[in-house]
Amino acid sequence: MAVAAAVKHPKKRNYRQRAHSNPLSDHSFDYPLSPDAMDWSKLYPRMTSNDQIKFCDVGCGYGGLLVTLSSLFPETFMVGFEIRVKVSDYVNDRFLALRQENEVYHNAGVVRTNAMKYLPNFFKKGQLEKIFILYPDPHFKRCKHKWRIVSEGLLAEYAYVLQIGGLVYTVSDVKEVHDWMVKHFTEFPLFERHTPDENDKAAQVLIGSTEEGKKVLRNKGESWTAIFRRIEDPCIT
Amino acid sequence: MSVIFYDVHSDSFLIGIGVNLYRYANQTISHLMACGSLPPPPPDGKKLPPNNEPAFVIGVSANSRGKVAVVCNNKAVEVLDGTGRLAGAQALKRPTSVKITDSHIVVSDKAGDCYSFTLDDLCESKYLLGHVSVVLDTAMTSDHLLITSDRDEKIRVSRYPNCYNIEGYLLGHTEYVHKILLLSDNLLASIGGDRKLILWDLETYSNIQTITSEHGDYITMSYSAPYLLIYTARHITVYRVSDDAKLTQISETMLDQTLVSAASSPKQVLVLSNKPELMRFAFHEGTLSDGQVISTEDSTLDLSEIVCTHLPDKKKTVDTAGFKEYFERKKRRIEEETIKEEMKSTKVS
Repeated sequence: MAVAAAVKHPKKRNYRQRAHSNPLSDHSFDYPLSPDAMDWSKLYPRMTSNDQIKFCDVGCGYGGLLVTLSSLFPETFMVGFEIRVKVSDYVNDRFLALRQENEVYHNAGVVRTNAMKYLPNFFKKGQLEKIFILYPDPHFKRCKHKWRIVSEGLLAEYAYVLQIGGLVYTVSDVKEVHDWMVKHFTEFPLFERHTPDENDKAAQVLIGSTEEGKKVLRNKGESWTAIFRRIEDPCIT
Repeated sequence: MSVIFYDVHSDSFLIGIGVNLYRYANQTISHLMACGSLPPPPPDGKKLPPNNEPAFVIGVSANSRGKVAVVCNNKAVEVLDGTGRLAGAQALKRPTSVKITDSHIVVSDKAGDCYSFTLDDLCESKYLLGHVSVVLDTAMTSDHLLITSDRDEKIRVSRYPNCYNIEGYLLGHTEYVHKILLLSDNLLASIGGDRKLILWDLETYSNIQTITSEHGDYITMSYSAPYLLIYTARHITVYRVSDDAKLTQISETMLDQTLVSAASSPKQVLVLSNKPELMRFAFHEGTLSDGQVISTEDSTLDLSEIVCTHLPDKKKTVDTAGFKEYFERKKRRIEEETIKEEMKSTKVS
């Protein structure tokens, strides 16, 4: 007797992984030689040649934000970067299941890669409209600071892939990490602190949509958000 | 490593062997200075741990005003001119290259960072930019661009001195990019561990031409317009760069010793080998001839400390993240689950 199989959603217990991964070592990643060499159609079968990825969730974890943004911005293509094998595989399976069940969710996907090293391999100059850095790994120890996803050196790369006027959304439940990100972004000449207007749908879902965020809310903890806008270079040579 | 650098401003070669810096001009070698002497530690007294590695020169650069900058493996950054040592400073990390302009010195280091020092006294250092991996070489155009290449196959073009503003990337190498050379403000040559020589157009950020080495790893290269010389362990290949930026091979010379470093002037090519020997070739219309060993009998030149060329490590292809293993286990788990379910449904029906 043939029964239509119900769509199977991935279960997190099958994708358990150590939270930290060294972003400075050579894990074997697939990454394109250059943005032109990247074949996005494998991940996004409905992407046409006129479409481009516009949002990137750096360190997307289990995909919570992407799932929310995907339905809020159905016309926009977005991608999550995640360095951990099992976690990125979980997100991949999650979207496969969601796409089978629904007509939406075809505009979001995940790539297993190291955002610290390969951002310019995936995106052209000024391609992105939004970058999300939500609950980044604090890497508390001073010797691990160079593993942090926000640093003076990396800000130049975020500024490079982001269009002028584009936005970076940051959230953390660790005050020290929030302060670190605010300090770095505001001191960087190509970013300024930005207050989102009430129409900014993305700003409204920052805390509630990720697994981390939900956990913080459950434990009655606090989250701090900060948004930054990519501005023109004040220095002209 | 030992270094030879051709200083176009003074038409002489600067040779760094071990800790000593020499100048070779008009067939005479003169000893300029012993480098690598560090300034006294700063008052907050962070002492350097004792370094068992012998000090040696890593990079040399000269500007049009007769000033020469040198960086050493023990973090010494020094400036000298015809009269001798002018100033010294300490880099934060082991330097990998140095470039000197009329007013500043730009140093790249093994942490992937680039700093500039004010030329006169090397007192003020300013952070310019950071790569995530080691920056292996740098180049500066005359129209305010700083180009940096790293171990992660990237060549980054940033504005200068506002290096936080990235102009673009030149992507195409599949291994570390250890030497980059400006042939003009719009043309860059690069060589990497993938044994490729790539010619780039800096206006369109495109790859104009790629040549693959036929003689193993590229060691270094030099440019004496219109000739681009590429050096491998046993061969020197000369290309002519045409006006429309195409490379045509003119000559190839085989060496009977292993090359450690080399440089070219419009009329000569100087080669340091690991024998150790310093050799001079006449260079005319793209061809080398008349190779002669430069004698060290009057002992100005001390070749005993030649340090062999050390190329960076190539990428490991080890699957450190356990990628394959994970997917095999996952496949098995899904198969087992499917079997279990089929058994359940057969039981039910």
